Formats: sequence, C-alpha cells, structure tokens
Amino acid sequence: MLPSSMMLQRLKELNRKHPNRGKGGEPLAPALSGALSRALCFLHKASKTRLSRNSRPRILCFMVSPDQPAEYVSVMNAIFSAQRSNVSIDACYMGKESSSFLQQAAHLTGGTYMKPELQSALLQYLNMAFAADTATRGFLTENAGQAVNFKASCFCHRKPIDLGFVCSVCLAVFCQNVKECQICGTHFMPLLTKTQKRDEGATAAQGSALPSK
Amino acid sequence: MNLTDFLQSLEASHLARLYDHQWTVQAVFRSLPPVAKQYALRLLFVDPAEHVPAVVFDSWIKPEHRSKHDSAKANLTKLQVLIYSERSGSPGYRLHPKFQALLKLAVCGGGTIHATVPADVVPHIPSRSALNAHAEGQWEAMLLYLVGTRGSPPDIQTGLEVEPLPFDELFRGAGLVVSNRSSARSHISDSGFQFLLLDTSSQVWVAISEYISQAEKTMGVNMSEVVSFLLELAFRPMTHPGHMRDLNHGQSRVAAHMTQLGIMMMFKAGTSIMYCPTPLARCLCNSSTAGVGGSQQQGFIVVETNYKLYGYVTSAIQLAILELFTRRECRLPNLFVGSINRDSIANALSCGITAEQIISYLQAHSHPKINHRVPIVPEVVADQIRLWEADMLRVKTLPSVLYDEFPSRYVFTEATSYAQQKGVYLWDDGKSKLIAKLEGDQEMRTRIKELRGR
Repeated sequence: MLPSSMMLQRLKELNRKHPNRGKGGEPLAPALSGALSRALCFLHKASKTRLSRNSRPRILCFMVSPDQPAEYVSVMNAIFSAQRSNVSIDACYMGKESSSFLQQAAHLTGGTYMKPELQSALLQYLNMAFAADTATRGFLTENAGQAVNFKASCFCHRKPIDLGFVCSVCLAVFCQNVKECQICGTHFMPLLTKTQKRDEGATAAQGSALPSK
Repeated sequence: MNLTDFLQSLEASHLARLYDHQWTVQAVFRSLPPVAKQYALRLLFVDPAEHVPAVVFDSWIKPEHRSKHDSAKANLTKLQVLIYSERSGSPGYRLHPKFQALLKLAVCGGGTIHATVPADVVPHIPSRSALNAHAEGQWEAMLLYLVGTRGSPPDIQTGLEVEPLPFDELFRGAGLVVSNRSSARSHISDSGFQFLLLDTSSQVWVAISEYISQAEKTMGVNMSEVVSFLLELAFRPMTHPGHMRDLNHGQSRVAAHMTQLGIMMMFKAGTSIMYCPTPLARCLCNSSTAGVGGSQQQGFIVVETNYKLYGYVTSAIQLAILELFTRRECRLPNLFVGSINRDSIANALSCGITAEQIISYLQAHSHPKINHRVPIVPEVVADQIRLWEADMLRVKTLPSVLYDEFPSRYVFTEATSYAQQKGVYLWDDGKSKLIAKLEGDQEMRTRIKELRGR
C-alpha cells in the first residue's frame, strides 16, 4: 500500500476508535481546545521526567472541520499556555477553506501551518514541513508563507468580526457597544458625541470604538 | 568516537555493502546530523526511478545557511546515501536504492523485532539489574585488565566452545597499550590513559571498531555482517531475547566475544541458549554522547573550590582513574577523598592526559547533587588545572648540538648567521658558544669547516 494512503487509513482508524459523539450518538462539534489542552497536559507531565530534559516538545494538530467560533476563547487560552510552556503547535489543515485558529496557533507558538493541496501526497507534505525539529527549521526554507488571518471572535456572540469594541481593562472583544463589560464587569461611560467632547474636554473615553485588528 | 566516526573511517567499498542490512540503515540514518537527516527524509518517498532536480534540492536551504547545506550534502555523499544522477540531461539527486528501500520499510513500521517471546522463556529473561550488573562487571574487568591491576582478561561465561577474545591484540591494535621489551606484558599507553577518561559510549566504539577491523582480518568474518549483527543487537529490546541457534557460525563467535565484553548476555532457557543485549549495546546506535548509558552511569564526583575532590565510588576502576590525577587523602567504603594539586596533575599530564580531558571527565561524572552548579567544576580549579598544563608546556626540549671553541670571532659570527638563515638557530652566548638544532648539524659542520679553511 502507498504510505500516504496508509497514513490516512491510520488516521481514520484513530478517529473510529475515539468517536467524538454525544450520548445519543449525534456527532459533536470538534473539540480543538480540548485536544490542545489535553496534549499540553501530557507534555507537562512528560517534561517532569529525566529523559525529556533537553527536548523541545511540539504538538501536531490535524483538523478537517471548519473553525468553531464558539471555541475562540478556549483555543486562544490553549495557544497562550503553549506559548508560555515553550511548546510549538504545528498544524495540518485538511478542510476546504483555511483555519484561522490553527494559523494563529502556529504563528504565535513558532510552529508551521500547512494546508496540503494534494491529499494523496500527504506523507511528502508532512515530511517536508513537520519532520524537522524547531532548530533545524531555522535553516530550511519554509513553504510559501501564507498570510495569517488574525480575525478575532467577539466574546458576546462568538462570531468572527473585523471591527469591534475592546474593553480597555481586560481587552475582551465585543461586536456591539455595551454598557458594561461582561467579562470583568467594568462600567463604560457612554460614547461621547463631538459636541459633548468639546464641552467636557479630553476625558479618557472608556468604551470608545477601537478596531480590534 | 561514535558510529559516525566509525563510518567515516570505512572505505567506500565497505560502505556500499553495509546498506544490505536494515539495522545498519536505521543506525546510519539516526546518526546523521539534523539537516542531512531532513534531506534523507525528503528524498525517501521519491520514486526510485525518478530523482529530485538539483535546482529543487539546492532550494531547500535558506541562502544564509548555505554552509549547512554543503556540509550536509558532502556528508550524505561521503556515506553514499545521496547519489548524484543525471536523467535526460538534467542533474539531480536520489537516495542509495538499497538504503531507500530499507529505510522506507523501517519508516512504514516494517521489520521490527517483535516476535512474541515464548511463555516458557519469559521467566528466564534476566532482569534489568542483572543485565546492568553483567555489563558493568565485564566492562570494568576489561578496563582493569587494561590498566594492569587485573592479571587476566574478563572471563567468557557462555559455555560455548569458542576461543576467547584476544584482548591483548585488541588493545594493541587500538593503540591503547605499547609493548615493553623488558617485560612480557605490555604497558598502557598515553592514548590508553585518554581512553579511560572517555565516556562509556565512546569507549565502546573505540573497542568495537578495532574489533570489527580485526574480525575481518583474523576471523575471516564479513565486516558488514558483523556490523549489522551488532546494530541489530543495539536495536533489540532487552525483553526480546534471540536464539543462539538462529545465528550462523561467524555470528555466534561474535556473540561470544560480545558477551565477554558485556555488550550482550547469554542465558539458558530450558535446553536452548538465548541472548539479549545489555544497556551497553545501546551505546552502539546512539549518536548523541550526552546521557548515554542512562541509569548505568550515575555521576559520583564532587569538586570543591578548595581543590578537594570527593568521589562516591566503590568500583576499583573508577578509583584507579581518580588516582590518576588526584592525591588520595582518605578512603572510606563508599567514598574517596582526594586533593588536586600540582604534583598530581603533573603526574597525569606526564601520562599523556590533557587538562581538557581531566576537566571534561570531572564534568561528565559530576554528582547529581551538584549538577545544577554553573560551571560544574569550580572555575578556579578548572583554570588552575589548565595553568598547570601550560606550565608543563613552558619548557620544550629539542635535540640540539652545541658548537664551541670557534677559532676566531669571524667564524663564530658567520656560523651564527648561517644557522639563522637555515632556521636551525637556537641560542648563542655572543662570544664563542652556539647551539643549533640537531637536524642542521651536517650542514653546519661543512659550513664551519669551509670558514676555517679560509
């Protein structure tokens, strides 16, 4: 059998062995954040042993389904904790579009994001992009750099936004103007119009519209 | 010394034969430097009938790291892993076909030693500690025999009828001993002392590479077969013993010798004789020197800033090594207290050991309690050892000739300038004495005769 198809079959087998289904058997949304957190836990445990003292761990993440905006906060938290513990996240996305979550994960942790064009040559893609350790990657040419989509999701409705409102205290992102931050509870002053501004002078404008990008 | 050094020392015709065996292929792949390893992986699944165009191959590295690329390419070419080929006019690269086929097999999970162990054998398999004890015991016995504190080489404990390993020849071949005309036994040489300070994995490779080259000459065994057998041993899990009856004549001889060296252990399971590797065998395929031996080599040395050295040792060989460069102050059942002083270091230097080797030995065997110290060996001690070495090298001796009683001032000055011209001049007292190097003696004599004749 061709190695690439063998790999795909193994991945499918893995998927069958650990089905991601609810109690009634209905398919659940992919749990990217859960997967990342679990991998980080394993790595943390492994880092305590003597053997892995000098190793630089990496996570390779395969994903087929599209991003779940609902997971945005937990995925970002997983990414940041990976960043803190010096773990690189490599991402291989095999869905139709491109995954903004995985792009950001790879970008922020110094990993590699890749979307194979030809799935039948998957093995060669994996060999080319992910086999090298982080130090060796510094010497090798990377595959054509793709623009990273830094789109954030709002904290209130979990939908991806281009422009939004940011809490000046906890940096939470909202898609609409709110009176009170839902995350940290800060009360925002109402937006001032131009005339009011002139009247009251340059007061710090909490809750003012700031592009999130 | 490690596998890479060994491979580098082989001739091209030998190398090509190595890739007939999958364990050699795997071990060679593991021993490659990182960039070369990536190249091998990238070329692995290229159709053997095709090749990767040279342009593509050369574009794999960032332009600023060109030197890495060139060294990786040279390395792979030297090992004959990478082959330059030209197809329909375009240059390209591909992997050695046999290397590629066997590595592919390994990567796809084929050809592992996973034969299930028969249930009646399982209770006979030696425990890890037994294997460790065997490996340490045999290796130490060999080192003690090398140092001369032990009269006989390590025993052969196999019950097989094989002539034991000729240790004396092995040592002599590796240059670890020099024959002494006055006594029947040969003495440990300078490189022998240096050998003692090496880490175990390098020691194993020094011994094994000499063994391999001798095995081909004296025992008539095929070298690639020996190498592949040894590397298979290195990859074999300790819980998966092999049958002695599966080995051919040449292999069973090698097996007996390896048992003697402590690289493998034989045991009886019912009526059949089985073998399994010891932790020492792991050193054979491990390219990195750090942390090799694992549990087997626990650090035991504490060096303090007051030039005191505490060694938690029980084995005679470690004690002997420590006494090479320290003065014994006190010896307790599990502790050796010594001091590092000028005389003790000078003693070691006169044996041919260098300061760097002493310091790296102290670092490599530091006690786990002081492992976090930076640097592990106090700077003042390390620097002093280096200074003492520099001190020893201050005076250099050269064979030379003293010319005296020149008939006239003129002859003396002419002879001096002639010596300077020829580059053999060493010293003169400005009046009548001149010292020149021995190699220029003939020329100097004729020149002085000429001057006198005038």
